[in-house]
This record gives sequence, structure tokens and C-alpha cells, in this order.
Amino acid sequence: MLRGHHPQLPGGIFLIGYTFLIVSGGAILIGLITGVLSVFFVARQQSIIGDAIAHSTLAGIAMAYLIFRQQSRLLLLIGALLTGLLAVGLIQLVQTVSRIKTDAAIGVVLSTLFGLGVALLSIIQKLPSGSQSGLKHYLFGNIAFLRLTDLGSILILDLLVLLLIGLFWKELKLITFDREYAKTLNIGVQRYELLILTLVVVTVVLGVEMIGVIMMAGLLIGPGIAARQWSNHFGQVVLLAAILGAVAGLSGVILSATISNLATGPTIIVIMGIIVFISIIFSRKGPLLDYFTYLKYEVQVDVHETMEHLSSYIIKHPRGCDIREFALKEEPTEPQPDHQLSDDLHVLYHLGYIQPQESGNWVLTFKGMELVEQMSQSWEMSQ
Amino acid sequence: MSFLVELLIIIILCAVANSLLGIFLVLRGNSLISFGLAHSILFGIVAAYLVVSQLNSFLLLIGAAMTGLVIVSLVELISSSRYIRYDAALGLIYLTVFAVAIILLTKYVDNAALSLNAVVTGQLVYTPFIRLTILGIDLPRAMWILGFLLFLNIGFITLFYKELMLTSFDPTYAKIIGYSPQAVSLLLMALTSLTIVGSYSVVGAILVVAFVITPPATALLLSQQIRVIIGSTIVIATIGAVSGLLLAWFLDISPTGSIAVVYGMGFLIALMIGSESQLRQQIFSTEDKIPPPPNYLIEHGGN
Amino acid sequence: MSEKIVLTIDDLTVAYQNTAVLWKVNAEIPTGSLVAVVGPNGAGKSTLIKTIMGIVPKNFGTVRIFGKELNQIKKRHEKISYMPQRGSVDWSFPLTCLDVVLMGRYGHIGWLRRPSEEDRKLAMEALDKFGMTDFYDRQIDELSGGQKQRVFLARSYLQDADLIFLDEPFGGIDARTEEVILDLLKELRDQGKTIVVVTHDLSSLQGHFDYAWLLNIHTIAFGRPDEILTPDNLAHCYGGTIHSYQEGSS
Repeated sequence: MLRGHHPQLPGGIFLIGYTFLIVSGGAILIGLITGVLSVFFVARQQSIIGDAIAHSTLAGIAMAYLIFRQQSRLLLLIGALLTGLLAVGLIQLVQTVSRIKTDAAIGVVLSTLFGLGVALLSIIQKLPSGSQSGLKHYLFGNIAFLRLTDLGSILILDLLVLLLIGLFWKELKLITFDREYAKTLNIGVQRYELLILTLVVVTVVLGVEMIGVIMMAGLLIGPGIAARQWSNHFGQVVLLAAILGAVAGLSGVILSATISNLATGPTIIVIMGIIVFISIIFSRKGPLLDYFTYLKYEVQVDVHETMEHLSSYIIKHPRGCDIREFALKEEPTEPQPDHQLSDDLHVLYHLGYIQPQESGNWVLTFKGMELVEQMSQSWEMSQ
Repeated sequence: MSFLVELLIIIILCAVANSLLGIFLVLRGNSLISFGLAHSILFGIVAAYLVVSQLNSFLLLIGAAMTGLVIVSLVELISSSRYIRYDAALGLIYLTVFAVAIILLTKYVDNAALSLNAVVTGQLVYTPFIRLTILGIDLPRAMWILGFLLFLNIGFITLFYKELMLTSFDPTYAKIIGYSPQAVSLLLMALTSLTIVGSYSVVGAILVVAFVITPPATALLLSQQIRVIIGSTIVIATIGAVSGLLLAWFLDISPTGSIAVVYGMGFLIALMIGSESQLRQQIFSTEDKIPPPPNYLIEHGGN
Repeated sequence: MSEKIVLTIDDLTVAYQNTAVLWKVNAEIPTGSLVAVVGPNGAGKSTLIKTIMGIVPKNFGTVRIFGKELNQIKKRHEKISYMPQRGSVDWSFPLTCLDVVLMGRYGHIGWLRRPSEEDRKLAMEALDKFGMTDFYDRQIDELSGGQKQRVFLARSYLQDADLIFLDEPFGGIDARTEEVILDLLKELRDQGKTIVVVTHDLSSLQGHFDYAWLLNIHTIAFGRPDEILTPDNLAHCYGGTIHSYQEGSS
């Protein structure tokens, strides 16, 4: 439908057709939103759940179609939502109620629901209206599907998703990186997790026509991994992930439109894979700060000076000293919870010079010991 | 042999061959590697086909299995580095490899056995038409291959039983007393890879996961004794495959999907009534149903 | 008087992701002794054992067992035995107590061969030593913490190695059983075996152990329990201080 309809001007400049604009728009919007959501998944190490949800929505979509016999996006969305949530619920249930571990729980639920989808699809394909439904394109995606009305609803849903994420930004960030602490704050952690999952399911249904059920998971993981290689700031990561997702979506759609017989979904994923690969290889290396801890303690302090203070303090106490004394700069009266300790300690900690032990004590790290050794040698030499 | 009987035998061989290995993958907590293998193997099959231009060589089988194994090993290597977390690696790299396979397939391959349909659902109903004669016996090729693989897998499990259990339960101790968990792991992966390749023409590259994971998981809900687990896995895999196939036969739906769903139903039932499942306790337990411990009764005058 | 030294550790340093876990650790363990390794949480005691066993890589330093590097030792199952902390194993695995204890003979049995009746008999005897005879066909996930511990101990005992490492073997075990086990360990020591035990329980040191090794990322002290368990040393080891690489003993 779209392929081969791009008149080329001399010099190889594309004339952008109206339909093409729509499709590109859709691709960008979808890539954007999956990119944002992928950060949440990757950070919580739940990437494979995105895969399971995506595969399970096939069953929901097929069932919705079978019951209502029409391709209304709203109905399909509801169907997908139901099976998506069912999948997540079952995976949790299995782990709660038996010895079966996460991997097998996901495997069972994923394969059963996807199998159901495949079975239902085979029924649909035999219906008189079946061959026009094109539901099998839900597997690998087909850009030919995006229509102007679809774009409208994608845009609306996109904005809704972005609005919700923006509204609950602080809470979502906290839940992603410090779930235990969030629980103590009594903010209803499960409600937000449900929100994210719902958003994912919604996104999957939005994107499923373009990229397909099977490939969808790639967009729910790739941008998060790639973006994380470039930045440690949560906001930057989310933004970058959105951009990368959009880029992958757009380029995939463009390539798929211009080269014949190129399935859309896989193309987008291959581009995403290349982006991830480049991100891993070419982003700055060196000592990786602990991602989550850094975000918990974002501090700016003069490092060198602090280390000098600390080293000279240690050198004056060769048998050892309580670093908390140093931090409080006066007699300690009672143990302080660690998030009230001074900024200096935090800096030293997230630079890797000191490290807390389970017992609540702090010790020098390997790096810290080397630095102190260095500084003590220069101090001795200056005596 | 009638058509249906041949189909039944093929699917049973496939189910048991896969689920036997699946038992150990599930016990080791590594069952999703079958997912990754299946994705990588498709790539191997497509790539090999593009080079060799025919699907019927045993070399293709071996080559695809090795490709699957190599890719999986590479991913294991990469994921132990700090740059990428394990589950994310699993998801994305296999998906990318799979995507490349699909692209190559849709663009350059014009063979029904490598169609999108074949990839997703397999082509069980066509398998009796591709036949192979060995030592004068004429059987479907898939039956020969899967029969051989089943034999290999049974042999592996029987011969290496204690090594499998030891390295899966306590790999650290295994290494200390001179065993090699890596070797056992590699063997297990290699066989899984081969079995998935052999199953490709029967169940495709995605739903094979259902055969590998679901019957063992179901068995684990029914018993904690290893012999019973192995036995019931075989029984569940067989009955599920047979009923799924018959269901598909009469309802005229995809056999692979149907079997996956039957396996899932079996799992749900086991979840509800299995002795190793706590579902009933969680839903129905009340204080009255928990008997007091013996010393309580003694202290409180046997009330 | 020079006793034979079974284990020599020189300047052993292990760092994990830029954190020093062990720093320039030195020790010499005499053959036929019962040694306790003590220190607070995070002191690196488990890491020490794992590094000796080659499970955790070292950054620098040397470890010599029977005068050799680990990978030069043939028939390791006869020479070294290791009982990990209880939590490091998958207890939901479908194995019986006998199955687990029998693993102590696997080194002897070798690849591909099956355990014989003789092996089973020895395994039952080992179970008996630790009072677990009735549990032989019980699934391991049905066991209490202390019982799991005893199964592990029985396995190590069955292995019958010359150098035995036990990581927190007394967790979840009542005092009486602990006494029994300590007596068993002394029996093994009298047979000429060397036993190194990582433990939290300082009170058991006196009267049972030949040597105590105070460890907190590096060696604080090593010697007879009554000599080195001074308040000063203990404060230094447990008292929340930074340990200067300069071993000041003034």
C-alpha cells in the first residue's frame, strides 16, 4: 500500500506523502511511549515480564474479536488489557502459592496464553470475515494498518499516558528505585505498579499493529538499556529512552516502507538492537557508579578536600577510628540513621572510597585504602 | 500406519523429548533459556538455508543447533559483565537475532517450511509427508529425528543423573569435589538446542517453550519426589499432547496452540488440587482447620 | 617447634566492585588443628573460605594447600571439603536427605558411575553420626534449619577429606547438638585432619578450638583463644572502626 509510492526528486530527496506522515507520526508516538515505560522495566529487572505481557495480549485481542466481530480499537484494547493483567496476576499467584520460580511461572503463562492466541487466530482465519481482519498481522506488525483515525486515538492515549507519568513522576521514580522505602511511606505501591502495568498493556495494544506482539517486548526493553548507558540521571534516562524509542520506531517504519518485503516489527527491533549495541560500546566507561545509590544521594561536594580531611584524620589515629565521629565533627551521642549523616560521607560513599557494612559500621574500600595509603606516604615524607 | 497415528506418535515423541530436558531446566531455574535458544535457532536455520538452499540435510540440523548454542553462550558471557543485566540481555539480544531471522525469512526465502506460519505454529500436519527410509523402514523424517533425540535425552539423563542433580543442586560443592558444572550445563544446553531444532518442523520456534516448561512445572505441583516428577512429566506431556492434538483435529484449530492451551489447563488444575500447591490453603484456611500442636494440648488439658 | 603447615596464606587481597573484602590477609594453619575464624558481619570470613576454595577469584596474594596451589591438587575430594552456609543452596530441590549426604561419596565414585550399596551404607552411617537416621528418605525441604545443617555436616563428614572448611555450621542448632558436633570435630582433629570453622559464636571458642583467627577484612589476631581474645583485640575487630593497613600494635 505504501511501498513504492515515493516519487524521488533529483538528488534523492523524498517527497513525503500524507499517509507516510501519519505512519511516521504513529511510529514516533509509540516509540516514545514504549521508551519511557522501558526504563521502569529495566530498572526493576522485570524485562521479561514485558515480553510475557506482550505475548499474552494476542489471546485477549483474538477473544475480543471473536466475541464482538469487529476491529474496534477500544474493544481490542479491553480484551488485551484483561489478558495482560491476567498474565501478570497468574505469574504472581504461581510464585506465591508454590515452589515454582519466576522463570518457569513466566514460561508457563506466556506459552499458554500465546498458544491460546494462536489457537483462536486459527479459528478467526476460517471465518468468512476472517481473511479481511488481518489479525495475523498482529504477530509481526504491518505499517499498512495505521490510518488517520488510528493516529488520533494513538495520540490521545499517548498524551494520557504521558500525563499520568508526569503526574506521578515522583512516586513512580521512588517505587522504581527504592521500593522498600516507598512501602514504608504508605503510598500504595501496588497501585502504582498496577498503573505501570496497565500503561504497558495499553501501549502494547497501541503498538501491536505496527510492531507486532512478538517484537513488542524489544521496544519495552531496548530503549531503557540503551539510555542507561549514557546517563545516570533518571530524568535524562527517561528522556533519552523516549527519543531512542521514537528513533527506532521511525527508522523502522521508513525502512519498511521503502524496501519491499521488509516486515515492520523485526526491522524496528533490529534498529533498536543496533542502537543498544552502539550505546554499550561507545558510551563512557570507567568506574560505574552504582546507578540506584547515586540517585538516592545526589550531592555536590568538594571531593578532594573531603578526602584530605578524612585521610589526615585517619593518619592521626593509626589504630583505627570511628568514621561517624569524623562525620559528626563532635562527640557522638547516639547512632544516626545513615540518611542523616553528613553530605561528605555520602560523597565518599558514592565515589567508592568508603562502604557501609551490615553492622552499621563504615569501612574504607579498596580504593579508599589505596588513596589513604598514598596520602599517608606523602604526609610521612613531609614530616 | 494411519495418518493420525503417525501424527500422534510424532507429537508424543516431541513432547517427551522436550519435557524431559525441561525438568532439569525448570529445576535449575533456567527454563527461559529454551526461549532464547528457540529464537537463536531460527536464525541458524534461516542462515543455513540461505547458504545451503535446502532444508533436508542433517548438517542443517547440527549447524542450527550449534548456532543456537553459540549465541546462548555469548549472551551468558555478556550478561555476566556489568553493562547489561541478565534478564534484559535475554529479552533483547534473542529478540534481535530472531528479528534478523524473520527479516531474512520474509525477504529472501520462498519456502513454505520457512513461512511465518511455520515459524509460529510449526507444521505438524505436513510432517508425515516428508519421509525417510533407514534400514528399509519407511517413516516420517520427524519421527526418526525425534525418536533419535528422545533416545539421546533418555540416555543423557540416565547416564548423567547424579551429575545433573549434583551440579544443579550445589554447583559449588560439585566443583570442589572435582566435577564440572560447566560441562554438565553445556551438555544440557547442547541437547536442548538439538531437540528444539528437531522440533522446529513440528511445533515451530515459539510454542516449543510450552513443551519444555509446562509439563515439568505441572509435575512439580504434584510431587516433590524426583522419580514421581519425572514419571508424571512424561505422562502429562503425553496425555496433553494427545488430547491437544485430538481437540485440534475435531475443532479444526491450530494443533500447537491447542496443545499449549491443554498443557496450561493441566497446569491450572494442578495448581488447584496439587499436593505441592498452597492455593487451597491460601484461599480457604481458617483457624479451625489448623490442628493445635501436641504440646499445646498437653499444656491446656487436652482441650 | 615447627608443626607441619597445611594452609599458607600470603597477602591475600580480594576486592569486589571496588570494595575491599579481604585486605592483605596472612595466615599459617598447622596440620591437625581445629581453627575458628571469627569476626563481624561483612568481615570477609565467607569470602576467605570461598577464595581458598577457588570459588571467588583473588586480586593478589597466594594460597597454598599442602604446599601446592589449588589447581595442582589431584583427587581434591580426598584432600579438601567445604560446607557452605545454609542459605547458598536451593532447598526446594527434590532430593532426600540420603541423596544429599551421598554426594559426599560422589568424588570417590567418579563420573558416570552409580553409587553402590557400600556407598549407601556409609551414607547411612554418616546420617547416624548426626542423629538423622530417621530422616533418610525425607525430602530436604521438609527439614528444619538445624536439620538441614546436620545433613550438610554429614555430607562433609562422609567425604572424609584431610582439610575441612565449615561455614557457619552452628546456625539454627541448639547448644546440646553444638556440643555433640564440636566433639565430633575434635575426633576428626585427633585423626589428623585440619578443620577450619567460620563461626559467630565466641563463647564456644575456649576449651574447644586450638586456634582462633580474628578477621575483619584483614587479620586482627591469630593464636590460642585464651591468648588473643583480649578485650582490646575484640574491640578492634568488632568495634566499628576503620582498620588501618598499618598494623599498629603499640
